[in-house]
Amino acid sequence: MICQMKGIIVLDNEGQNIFSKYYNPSSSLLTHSNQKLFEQQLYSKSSRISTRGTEADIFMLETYSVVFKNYNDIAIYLFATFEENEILMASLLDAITEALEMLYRTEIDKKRVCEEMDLMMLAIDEFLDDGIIICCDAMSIVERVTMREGQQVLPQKNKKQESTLGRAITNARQAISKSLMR
Amino acid sequence: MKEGHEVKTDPLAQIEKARVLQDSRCFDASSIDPKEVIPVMSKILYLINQGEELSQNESTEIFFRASKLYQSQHPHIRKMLYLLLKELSPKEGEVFMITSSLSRDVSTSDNPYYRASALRVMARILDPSLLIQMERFIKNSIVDNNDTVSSAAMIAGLKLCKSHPEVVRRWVTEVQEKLSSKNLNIHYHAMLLLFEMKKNDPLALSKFFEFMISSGFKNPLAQVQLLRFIRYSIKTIPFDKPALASIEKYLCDSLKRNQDMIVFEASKTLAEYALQLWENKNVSSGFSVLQLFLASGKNTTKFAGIKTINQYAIKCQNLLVGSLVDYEPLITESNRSLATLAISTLLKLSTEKNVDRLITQITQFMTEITDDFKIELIESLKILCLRMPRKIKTLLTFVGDILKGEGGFQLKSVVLDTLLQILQDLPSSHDLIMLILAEFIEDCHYEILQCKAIHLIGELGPQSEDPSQLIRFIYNRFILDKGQSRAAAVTALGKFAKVPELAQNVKVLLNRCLEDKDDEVRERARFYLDYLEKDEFPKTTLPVSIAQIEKAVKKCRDTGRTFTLELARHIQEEPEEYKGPSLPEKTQTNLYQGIAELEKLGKPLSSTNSVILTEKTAEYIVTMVAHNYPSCLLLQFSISNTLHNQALEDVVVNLHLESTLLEPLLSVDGGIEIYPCPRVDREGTGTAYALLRKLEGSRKGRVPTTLKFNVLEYEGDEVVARFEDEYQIESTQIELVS
Repeated sequence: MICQMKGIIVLDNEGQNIFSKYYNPSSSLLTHSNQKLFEQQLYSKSSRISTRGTEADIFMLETYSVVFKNYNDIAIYLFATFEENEILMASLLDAITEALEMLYRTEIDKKRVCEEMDLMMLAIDEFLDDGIIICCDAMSIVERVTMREGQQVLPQKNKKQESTLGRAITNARQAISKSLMR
Repeated sequence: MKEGHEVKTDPLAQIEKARVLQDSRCFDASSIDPKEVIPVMSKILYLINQGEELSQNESTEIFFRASKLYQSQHPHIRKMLYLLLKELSPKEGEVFMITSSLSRDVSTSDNPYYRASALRVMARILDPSLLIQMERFIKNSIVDNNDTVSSAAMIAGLKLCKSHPEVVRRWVTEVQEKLSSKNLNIHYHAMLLLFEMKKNDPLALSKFFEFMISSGFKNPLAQVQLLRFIRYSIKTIPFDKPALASIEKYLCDSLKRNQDMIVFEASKTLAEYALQLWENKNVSSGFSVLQLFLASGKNTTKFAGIKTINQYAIKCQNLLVGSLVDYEPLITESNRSLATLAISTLLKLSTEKNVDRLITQITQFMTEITDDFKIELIESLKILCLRMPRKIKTLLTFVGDILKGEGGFQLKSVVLDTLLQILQDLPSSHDLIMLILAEFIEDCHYEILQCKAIHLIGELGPQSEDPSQLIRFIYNRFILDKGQSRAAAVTALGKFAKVPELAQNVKVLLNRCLEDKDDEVRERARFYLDYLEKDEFPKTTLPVSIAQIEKAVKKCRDTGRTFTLELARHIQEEPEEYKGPSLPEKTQTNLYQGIAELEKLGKPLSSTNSVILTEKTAEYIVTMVAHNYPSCLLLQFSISNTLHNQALEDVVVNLHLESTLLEPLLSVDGGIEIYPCPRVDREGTGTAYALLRKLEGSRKGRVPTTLKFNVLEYEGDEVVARFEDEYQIESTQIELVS
């Protein structure tokens, strides 16, 4: 009865798995080989859809609704049973990608994600607990991942690498990047 | 070492278990360097995530090394450590090692993020019985001033609620207090937890809803959730008229919210109980906002709208039929999932008046759509055929075109099966379907399907109005096709000799087949000619059943004996399969499926309504009816298997009574008896039982329930795999009243 996501999956532009998390998988998604098969289907279904930029799009697969976003060389999929509220799913996915953009301080791309996968893993863990949505607000998630209010302020890595793709959240991002670890 | 040309390497491909295990030694180093440690931690998580098998030793090794990282005060390392601990799913003995560190974090750490994360780790890795010992910490954390901590504690509470609801229920004051928090997110978590605490108590729940509705909280997530709670539980709560009216008003108010997700949830809740609880005009306004969604710029919003309209299209046909034009533009959507849903909705809502136009419209873009979609379409068309038999010609022509057109094996096979089903339900379609099959065999790339169709024509064709026209199609096989199809055609041809006027012609044609280069074809032709001469037809019934022959052949293969019919006859035939009704309502006559022990029970005092324990769209749909007897309670589980390539054997309903109020049953001899269902066929149904003895006093509880069974995987009619599987269904609500 509680809103429940069934999984979040990140694939690269060749359909290779970068990250995936299944929440309380049904018996057909329990084994790793079935999950791989499922991911292949995700990839092939979504590549048939021409998305407008990085706007979320949607399709059905088996008994699931899948909301996804395409980036340059990476795609993020969020799926839940057909009974779930797709609009909620879309706004959760928006929040997740927004948080990732803040954390990576740039558009999401494979290289960044692979280099600092910890940020993505932590962010997703803060968004969803066993598929239950903890929070739908990118800012608070970024806060929790970076522990901005934690006692120890960490030296910033990549100081020069300022994002050229400024967005509406630039200000917020700067505040956070100051305390970004490493 | 370096190659002259640069190869672009995938950084992920380089992550390798042995290497990572080696690297994890840096966790032990005397001075821990975050720049070194964190990437290794990520890599371990990545490997676990990729399904890399860690042996018990490896996982223990990593766990021990990782626990050393507790000494580092570096926040990011600590954060990753929490994550790693959750993903490693440590064994009981290992958990013991870090329990004290975790509880120290929860109780004394002055970093709220540590406390929050540690709470969530505990909820994940601690055994519920251990977690109970942490109760005080969790309870205190709920009322913590820091919102992150409080929210994590409530999330932990949600988990604990499943195993120890009675403990969590004691925190009701603390959680309720949080409803007045200024943080909207805290509201949401408090609401989730309160609902979980109260969900089995209708009276408390009705008060809860009353309070929540009047409190006017703002978090959209919480509002979505409340609307959903209402949808799922309104039927079980004895609301009085004014309460229902205020809920209805709340639903209508929610339709006016800015956030589409709330509007969506409200309109769905209205549609779910249309014609039962709400006024039609309110349900209608729910549908009209969903129709507005269809004009949205976002595909996700459109999808949600059309999906829901489609879901209730049949039930609320009267309210929706006027809005057909709203759905038509979606047919040409480039997103096929949207188009599928639109077409399926249109078909559901179509009437005899507009169905022709609709079919023409769909035909226009049939070439650009995928097989999956066509399969779904076929399903809608089948229903439509049964709904408007007068339009069967248009509809079947359309189905026939799909069968003849481009398409894979699965699609064609589904179409064939569907045609057969239509034929069974609608005898008037016989001649049309025969003609479709005849045209299909003219040009079919799949030999198996072609033979199947030829066989069907042979079996059913002779009853056609004009069987002679079918013979031409069959005879063409001899000229055009391969051996197997020709052989099938001979058999089919032979069957047509049953029609007296055709017997002579068939004879002539069969005689020509005697010259065939394929011996199977010649032999079959000879076989039928012999019978024709004697003017009697081969009996189609075998002296023993196919199942017996199958078993006998298998036995012969295993033992090396020669197969004889005599042997097959001595094989014990399996008992007739149980044919329970698919979704039984109330009691039915064949309640006990011939199980002697159960038949002794006689008639139940009372029976509950059937409760569905799975999603309606699940692979296996399970419903449960509880029958009440003076000394016991019989739970009847009806299992309906929707898969066409899997059958289930020995389906056992496992009731996990441990740590529920019904646990004492386990220690009583015969306290619980389980009667498995021997077999659930492909797309078939079956019934399994659990018999619970009544003990002194009343007890009730929600019991986590799983199905356990052997899966037989089929390819065609052959079993290709067999394995054990388990399937989680909703907890069963059990009430024992003595």
